[in-house]
Amino acid sequence: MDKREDQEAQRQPERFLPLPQAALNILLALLEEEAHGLGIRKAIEERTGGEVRMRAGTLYEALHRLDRDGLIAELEEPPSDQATSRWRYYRITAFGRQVLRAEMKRLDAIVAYAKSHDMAPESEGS
Amino acid sequence: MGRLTRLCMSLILAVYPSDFRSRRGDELLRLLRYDLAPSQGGLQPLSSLATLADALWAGLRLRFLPGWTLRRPAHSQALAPDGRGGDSGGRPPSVPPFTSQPGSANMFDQIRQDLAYAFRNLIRRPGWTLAALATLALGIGATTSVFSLVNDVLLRPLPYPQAERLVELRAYIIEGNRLRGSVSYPVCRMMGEAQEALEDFGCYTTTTQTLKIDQGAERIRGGIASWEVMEALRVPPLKGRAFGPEDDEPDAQRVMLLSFGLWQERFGASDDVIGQTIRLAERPFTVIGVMPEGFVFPDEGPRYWISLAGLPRTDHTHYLSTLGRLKPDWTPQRAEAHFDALRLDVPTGAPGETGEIAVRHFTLLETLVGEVRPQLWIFLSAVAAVLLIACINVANLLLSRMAGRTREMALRSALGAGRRRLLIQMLSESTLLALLGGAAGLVLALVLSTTLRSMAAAYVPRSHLLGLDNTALLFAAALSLLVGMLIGLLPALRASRPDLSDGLRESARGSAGSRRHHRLRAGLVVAQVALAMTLLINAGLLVRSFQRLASTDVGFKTADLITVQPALPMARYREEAAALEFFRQTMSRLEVLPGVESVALAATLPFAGGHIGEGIRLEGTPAEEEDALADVQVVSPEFFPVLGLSPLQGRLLTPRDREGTPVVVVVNETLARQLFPQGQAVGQRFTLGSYERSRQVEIVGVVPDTKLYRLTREIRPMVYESALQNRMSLQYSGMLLRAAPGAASALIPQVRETLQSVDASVPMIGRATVDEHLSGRLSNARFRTLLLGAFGITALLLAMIGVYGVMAYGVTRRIQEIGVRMALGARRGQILTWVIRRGLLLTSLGLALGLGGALATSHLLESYLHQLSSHDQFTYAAAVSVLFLAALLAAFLPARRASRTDPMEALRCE
Repeated sequence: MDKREDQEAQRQPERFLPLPQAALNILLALLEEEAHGLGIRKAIEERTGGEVRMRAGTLYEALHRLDRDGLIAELEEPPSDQATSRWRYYRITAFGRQVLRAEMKRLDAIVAYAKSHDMAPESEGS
Repeated sequence: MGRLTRLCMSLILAVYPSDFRSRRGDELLRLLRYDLAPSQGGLQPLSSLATLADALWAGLRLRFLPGWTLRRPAHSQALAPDGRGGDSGGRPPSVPPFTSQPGSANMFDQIRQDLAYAFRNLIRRPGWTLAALATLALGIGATTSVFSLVNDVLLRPLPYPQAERLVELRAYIIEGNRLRGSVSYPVCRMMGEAQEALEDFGCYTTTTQTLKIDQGAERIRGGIASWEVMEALRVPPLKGRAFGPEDDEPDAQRVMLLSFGLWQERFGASDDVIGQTIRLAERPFTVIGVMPEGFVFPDEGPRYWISLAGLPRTDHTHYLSTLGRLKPDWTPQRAEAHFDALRLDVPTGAPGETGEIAVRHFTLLETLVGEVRPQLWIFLSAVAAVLLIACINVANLLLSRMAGRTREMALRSALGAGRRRLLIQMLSESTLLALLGGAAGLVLALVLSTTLRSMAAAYVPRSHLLGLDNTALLFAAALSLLVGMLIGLLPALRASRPDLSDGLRESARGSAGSRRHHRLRAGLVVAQVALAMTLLINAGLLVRSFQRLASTDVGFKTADLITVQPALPMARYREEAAALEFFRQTMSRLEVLPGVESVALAATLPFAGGHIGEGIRLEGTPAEEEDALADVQVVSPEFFPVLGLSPLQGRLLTPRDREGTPVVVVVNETLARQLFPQGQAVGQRFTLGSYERSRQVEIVGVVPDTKLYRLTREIRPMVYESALQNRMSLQYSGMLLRAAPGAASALIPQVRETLQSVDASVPMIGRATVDEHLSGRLSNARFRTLLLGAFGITALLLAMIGVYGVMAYGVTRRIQEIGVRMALGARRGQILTWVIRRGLLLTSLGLALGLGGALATSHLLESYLHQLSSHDQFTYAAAVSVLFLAALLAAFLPARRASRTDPMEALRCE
């Protein structure tokens, strides 16, 4: 654990940008609470109104890479209210939050640029 | 979840890197199972397929693109030890570490690197890769599904211990040179006594009887087998006892063995079933045992087996098959010599079974699949040809891509990559391609083999048992590897000795090496066209034969004819009078149904299988000789109007031709012509039948020829007798209804009800209309034609893609030459002809070779061709024209592009 945190400290979040869609969605889902694979997928589905539904392979590929590179981490054991669950639970790491923040900054810049060129998203009803 | 899905999932998981598998493999599988479960819409094949494909794709990415955007690939890190690498943005570089020396790195590392490099190469050109994958998937998928059928039917051993030692003996009538498919009981016993090589030699047959359990009655197929046969199979019953010698005594108590399935379904798997009495064909049978799960004999149909008790012993009809087991100390060779020398003398046997008889032997498997064996091998060869054509296409695709990579190869070679290294690199690319294609092909095979089996089930024994099994999966894997080597070898050999100076200059268009390269591709296309031609002609022959068969004139209108085949229980209808009464009542009730025009009785219904054949003896012919063998149809007088037959000479049968009046018959034209060439058949007398059944009859009329039994059978002499005068086959007779046009299908339920209203214990069996019977008769030919036709069309398409590819490539390669020609004054038309001519030259060479191939192979189809020569000129000419026109089109497209070349552009494109 310490070693990994060490590695994290050395990393520059910018190196992971732009975040692939799957990774971005997973990190966002984990902001709310710790979750397992299926739970993450459900959270993403709920947040996007069913628009994004990750297939099993894509989901686990992204989880594997995010975990390997220290953006998320596996819980040692399931949360207390899910003690009997057979699934592995994940949490977002400090480094993961850093990367997410960097990504938001990047996206912000894009949105700001688009807005300045009259590409603001239309507000509803207008 | 299907076994195959589970296997697919394990195979997919094997693609993932090991650290993924150990940490997350279980979870991924669990989620996949969740997603593929029916409640998740997993039954929708497309969505399941997408889920599996996504999982495979993710695994491949994890294995071969460890970089993703999150981290650099391993070898890129090696180049940049600080872990940051250059500024390639995390994308893998396109050139692998080709300088690594053998031995300097772990071999597996190297293979992994090669595969990763190959994989990146493939995904960099998705269009190209998809085209190659689709072609390979088609070839491997089709081949795998046909192989799995062949494997199940021909190669998989029968489910008995040492099944290859089970032998059937058949009677070969020396005089008349005929091999009989079955023997009579006396001949079976004679064989058993005369032969010495087999133990537990006995006889068996199959039957369909009405089984009564509680209130219900149902027609169920079963086996009749002597105790020796059950003994020879060496499969002990699961419960109770097997047949013993005492069970076969003529007056023994009737006993029965149940199949596992029947025991489970009808008797709730209860142990009490042993000793129970069951009514079969209105007779009591005692259940003495239950056979274990998976026991089948002789094929999958029978669900119970009864002993020979009560079976006629001296009957002169042959309906039994024989079976015995080779004695342990007898080798097949010794037995063969013994059987070949065996002779039986049958003084008075069944018709066609008398005289000196030799013995032919077959293994049980040969007996069961004998008829379809050659067909299946033909299918497999045809599909192999399609696969070969597909391979050539992909090899050509690889070659053309290789041509675009000459510079890369030369560069790598110049930098020190050895020939072996380049070869392995190329082969790993083609192998990866073939394996991916094979995986896609497996999915295709799953779909194809389901279709194939449902079509084949009707007539291919053992075909409906299994789907794709492990053998088929192994076959697909091995085939993919082989295909990978095959398609990669030529391009690899070519690429591994690049011409350094030419390659680096990359203007090798006119060089000798390039020309040689092009000649190789042209040669491949010729081979492709030749194979396609061979397949197309053979398929065309089957199509044409099927057309003829399907449009055969049977001599009467088959539409709106309903067939009613009641199964009269022998116990109740033993008396012919009872049967006659049943038919009389039923027919009078059927006649008045609205929509029924007329009803007739017939001993054998048209195309329903089965017919009666008896000998004809003219006056003055000695008793032991016959003048002709005739089909005998026993009918009621209404039969002729129902079929729409009117007399050519004399009169038809009438209700006045009944018992007590002289026995009269109506004959068909063929009989009249053959036996009475002078033309006056009416009024002639002859003896019909032999032994106790022989009877003197007089011809009162002649009707036109009809085909009543098999479409492929030539018309034989036919005798129509009145059911009122010949009652011998009454119990087995059926009824034929002429319905008002279009009313048939609506009438069928009413017909069944009417039958039940006369006697509720009589079920109706078989198909319901003559057209359905006819279609059933054609199903085998239709299946064969469809399958080979599909192979032929696929071959044609693939070959044309091949021609197109090589022509298009040729035009690109010679674009400068074309530019020069045009600059020097060549007109567009001239360029067009120049290119097309070259395309047609290749095609013509292929056509000529293919014609030879067709002439050499089409005789294999001869037995499936109906009134068609295997050298039918029309078919050959049609196939040649089709292929030629298709090739013209395939060459025209590149030619048009060439003719529209702008000379200036072409000259400039250096």
